[in-house]
Amino acid sequence: MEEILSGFNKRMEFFAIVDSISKRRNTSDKIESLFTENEMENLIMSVLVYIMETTLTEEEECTIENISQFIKIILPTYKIEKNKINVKELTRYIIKDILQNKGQSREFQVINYDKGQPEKIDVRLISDKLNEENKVIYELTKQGYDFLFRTKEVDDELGFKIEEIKLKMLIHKKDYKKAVSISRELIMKIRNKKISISQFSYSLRNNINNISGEKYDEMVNSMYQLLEEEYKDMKDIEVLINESISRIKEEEAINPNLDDKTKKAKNDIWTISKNIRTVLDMQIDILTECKKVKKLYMETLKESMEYSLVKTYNFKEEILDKLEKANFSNILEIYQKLLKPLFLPRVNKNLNINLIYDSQTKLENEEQEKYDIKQELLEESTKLEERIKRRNKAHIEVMSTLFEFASTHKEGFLFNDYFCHIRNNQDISNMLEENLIFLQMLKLYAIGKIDIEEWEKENIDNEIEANGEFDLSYCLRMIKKESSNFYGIKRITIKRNDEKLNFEQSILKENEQNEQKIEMTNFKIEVE
Amino acid sequence: MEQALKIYKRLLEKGQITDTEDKELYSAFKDLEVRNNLELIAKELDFKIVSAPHAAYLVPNMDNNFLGYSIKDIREGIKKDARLIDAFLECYIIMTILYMFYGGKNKNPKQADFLQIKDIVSKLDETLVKTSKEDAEKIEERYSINFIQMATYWRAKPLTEENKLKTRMGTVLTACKLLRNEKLIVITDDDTEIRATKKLDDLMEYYYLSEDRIYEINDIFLGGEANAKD
Repeated sequence: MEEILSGFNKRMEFFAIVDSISKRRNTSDKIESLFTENEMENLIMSVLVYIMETTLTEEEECTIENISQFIKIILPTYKIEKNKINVKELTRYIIKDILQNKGQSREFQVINYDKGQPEKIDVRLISDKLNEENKVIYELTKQGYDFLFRTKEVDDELGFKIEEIKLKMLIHKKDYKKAVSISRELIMKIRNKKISISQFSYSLRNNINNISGEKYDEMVNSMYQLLEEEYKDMKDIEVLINESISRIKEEEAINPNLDDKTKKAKNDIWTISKNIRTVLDMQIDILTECKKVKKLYMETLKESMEYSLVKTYNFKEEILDKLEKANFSNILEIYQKLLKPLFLPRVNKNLNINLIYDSQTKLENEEQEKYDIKQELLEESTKLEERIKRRNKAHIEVMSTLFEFASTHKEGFLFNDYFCHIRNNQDISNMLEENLIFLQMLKLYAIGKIDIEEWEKENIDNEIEANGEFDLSYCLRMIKKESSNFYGIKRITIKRNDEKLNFEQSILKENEQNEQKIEMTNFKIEVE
Repeated sequence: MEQALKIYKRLLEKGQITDTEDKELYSAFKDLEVRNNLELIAKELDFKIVSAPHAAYLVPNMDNNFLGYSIKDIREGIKKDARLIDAFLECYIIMTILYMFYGGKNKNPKQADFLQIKDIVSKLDETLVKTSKEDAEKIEERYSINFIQMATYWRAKPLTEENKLKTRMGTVLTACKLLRNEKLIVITDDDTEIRATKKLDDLMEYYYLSEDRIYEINDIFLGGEANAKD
């Protein structure tokens, strides 16, 4: 029983990968709703195939723009309205949110019968890295490649050996035409191995914590062993193809005018020979790289263990939660001290030669400057608070006077009636500042209707101040305190009117009196 | 001592030495005598050396006003007309970014390879918008008045506007640019996502998150309170 479940975790890895696509996280309703059932799964798999092909068959780098271009080409196959889709946004969604899980690892629990316990495996089908221009390029991970390969082609390890055997047989049978395509396949496969080892080396250098001992063993030791065997087989094949070359040369020496069929065979043999050489060179490169990675792994592991922290503190509790209780008066010191250990040394500013002769003054200046900055910032902060208060007050005044006016004009009225009324009866300078009353009317028009009954149902009773921007709910809460029945008004509707109004007002700005002209619609206000 | 001084000079210039870019210096750094001399310099000049695989970094001590980041630098870093509320917000944004990268509870604290700016904005919204939804008593219990003001200030920032710097995304991007200038992150994909550099990974994983620093961190907040009372 247990024997048949040996390596079961490997089978489940396949399941975990499918799960990561079919039960994808971070989904966007906006994008998913554009596709019919299973279309998105097809699209994701197509993108994976594209990434595989781009990285394996071409020397070019697979960027988000390339992927986007690919999606643009295949999208007409899907029953989707073209004008509804933003291809760039769709590409980023598939790559970043789904396949990269927003940069976070995606784990899946599997039962490892060999170890007799559950374990978590990482699912990561694509990886990325920055090229020299700091542009992000994408590749399939080994896991991604193995998965994709199994969906159509055959097992990777077995695959290489089978292809080698096929190539050998075809050369024996002198079927050079087919042998050419097999030799190309071999280049693709070996290139994938090269990519895998370079990805491994990259993540090893950057964060060894991402690499388990098993992963290392699988990647370096097993790959090394396998490559050695494959290399020996390839060397045998090279001998075979060299024999074919010699035979052709002999034939050519006897009869310089080769027939078309032999000429074609000659070309094919040269191509095969060149491809075999490429594979052999790459195999040597990877074997050397494996040795380097082995050394790098040991060094990094040793250093990481030597330097790594025994225990870490809870970042949220110790920093974020405490920041939530900080005040303006101490925020600069906190900011400075929290970031000082991470930021670059400020050597250039501090090693200014003039400062050597002026050290006392500098200290005083710095202290004074620190004080000045804090003072100045505090003053500005107070100004901001005052502005928020003033604006909140004005917004309430506009709403309150509008309700009051409406209570005596239930037949409806125009904005100009209301405006003239309040201008003649009270000081409206606060409402006019920053053109607040006019902007507020435009916002009310955008809202369309103030329905007290509906608002009462949705209103959550709280005491939170508005932030200086017009907040209808906040204003209604404040009016309710003055008049619990909202001056007997149930509903106010603001409608458009063709009539335009022109207002002129003088504003005092930087000690200068300026005239300002405002043109706006004379809104029609209906009252119930 | 000569080698130690050379390493010190390079650390002053770049903040770090690595086995790939400073091969000779890094190999000298591995020598015990050179290392001891360097530790001496560090002790006298009030900084520490943080070692990580394949790299070493200069980290000024908390009270080091000679090499460290100053209050004046904060002001210059934010914007010309910066106010305390901007400084508070920027500090909170940066710490949220660090938390999103390194808030993992496993042995490996790094939990994200990259962060999208839109996701950082959503994370900030989670807390800063919450302050307007909870009931007043709970809010006052949990947050300082200034934090609530800062949250209000954040909420007032539009989601989209012609001047992108004024939006929430723009504000986060400004903080990211500061981190980029300090060689802690790279900003990629048309300013839509960020990635931590090896320097940030190393400093966080081999120093910043150490439980040994907990008293130092407590002091930062307590020190601030004491100053506030003065």
